[in-house]
Amino acid sequence: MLRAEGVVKRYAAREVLRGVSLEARPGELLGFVGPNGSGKTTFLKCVAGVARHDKGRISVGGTDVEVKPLDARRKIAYAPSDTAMYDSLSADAMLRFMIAYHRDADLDRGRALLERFHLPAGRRVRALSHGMKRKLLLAGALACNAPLLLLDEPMEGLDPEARRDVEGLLREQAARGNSVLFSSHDLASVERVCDRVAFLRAGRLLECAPVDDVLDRAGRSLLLRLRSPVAEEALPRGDDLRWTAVQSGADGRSARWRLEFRGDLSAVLPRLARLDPVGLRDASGGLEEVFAALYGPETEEERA
Amino acid sequence: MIFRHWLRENALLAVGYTILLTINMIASVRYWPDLRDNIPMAVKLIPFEPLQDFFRAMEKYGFWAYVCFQQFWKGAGVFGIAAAGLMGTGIVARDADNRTAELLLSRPIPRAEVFFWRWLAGALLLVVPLFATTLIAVQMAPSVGESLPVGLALRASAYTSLFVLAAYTLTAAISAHSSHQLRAGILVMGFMLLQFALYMIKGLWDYSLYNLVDLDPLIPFVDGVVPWSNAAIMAGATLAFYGFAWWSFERRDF
Repeated sequence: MLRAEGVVKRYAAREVLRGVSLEARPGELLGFVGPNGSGKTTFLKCVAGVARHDKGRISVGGTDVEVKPLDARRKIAYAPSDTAMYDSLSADAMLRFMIAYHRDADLDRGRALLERFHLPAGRRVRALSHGMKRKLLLAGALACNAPLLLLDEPMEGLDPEARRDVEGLLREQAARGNSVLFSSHDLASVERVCDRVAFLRAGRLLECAPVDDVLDRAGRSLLLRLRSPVAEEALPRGDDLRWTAVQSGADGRSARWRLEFRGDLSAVLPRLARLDPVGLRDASGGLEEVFAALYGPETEEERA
Repeated sequence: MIFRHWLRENALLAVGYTILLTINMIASVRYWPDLRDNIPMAVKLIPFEPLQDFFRAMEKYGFWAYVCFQQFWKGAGVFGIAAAGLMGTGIVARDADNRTAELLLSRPIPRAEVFFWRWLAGALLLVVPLFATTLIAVQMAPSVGESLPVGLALRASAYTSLFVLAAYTLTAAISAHSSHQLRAGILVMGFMLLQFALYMIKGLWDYSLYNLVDLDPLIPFVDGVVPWSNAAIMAGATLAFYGFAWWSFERRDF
């Protein structure tokens, strides 16, 4: 649905995107992560036609965004990260404005989403809270019924319940065969929802891979709470397992251990059963930590 | 949608501008009989030579010169330019300033259309009140023992509208480059104030753009003489500013 090849974007002498190539397939949820200033928003703006890329090619559903920008934009529903809207309009009027130029837009669906989000349709935008504006933007984007949904930080400002609701809506969107590309710093959401994740840093796409593959490759970490303290010698051994006591007594025995391992969880769990664990928690790092571990910290040169 | 939205966004400003023009016109016409009888004295009391010239012209050409001064030079030249500055600077810069540009420009509508509909809405909000309030003078003229032909009033209004539109489109062109509506507004208003100040300085007034809407080009309308060269300059400037604004807007990143 979305294909970007070697996209370069410069602002004056500064190269913000440095040859980004990316593909979002129909029915796929693709997460877009990276530190602040990595170029995520710029990339989305280039796709949405708000900014123009200097080199490379971006096409949406086979339509080049530079050659036929209008046709391309008809296939895109975009919700920017900034929740600024026309304050004098009511939520309903703003919704109509957002979907007005999309041929397949569904106003009834938009209004149903406003109700689902508990948004008062008659209230002026200026009177809406930040979270409500975020939901209004999402309702507008979803009601466009476009085959490509571009969402810049859609979870920002939402409470946990609303986040889960939005995650469900994004899954529904993908189940309809539409592509969803969303940038987020809420990596837990990306992990829960996305099929693949693209990691951008300093304008370069470092990796685009299935979420599970990335997490597996970086290793997992479990926190175990045992019924009674044990010494390290009593723990299962193996080249693939690394134990660290979280709290230990003077004799080195501990009831709380961190286990780091690589590979399949199902192969490790049976080996833990004999320890008589009373608590088990996934303490694996988030995607950002995973990427930092995989690619190292951002260099000064990259930050410049 | 864009057109209606922009009319609504500027409605308050347009209402204020229309009220100012209306009050100016009604008060002016009602005051005319008192002034008509005392113009020679008024000339002696006025310190600025350009304004003295206005009153001498009123003495010579009567009510028409007075309407030209009140409605076209003062009304359009001061209130009209102020409104044009405020409306024109908003066309692009307001969205950049309010950070709504991303939302607007990601819709599947050409930027050229966004610009055109907004420009048109603002142009109508500027020009229609100018014509309407000139017609108030036409209606009120008999009540002060004068007459003002509709055709004459409309022709002069059309000519003066070109001046307002040129200033409006210049502000739109600056707006297309600016991310701060206030800064763009200050720039345009500063330029027009400079023009106004030049007009008030003997020896420099020939270099002021306000010459385009003072009595020299407007009085001859009464004899059917239209200053086509001035009109062409203003229309050409409007077109050039429009083209430049559109070109800039099309290429701009937000």
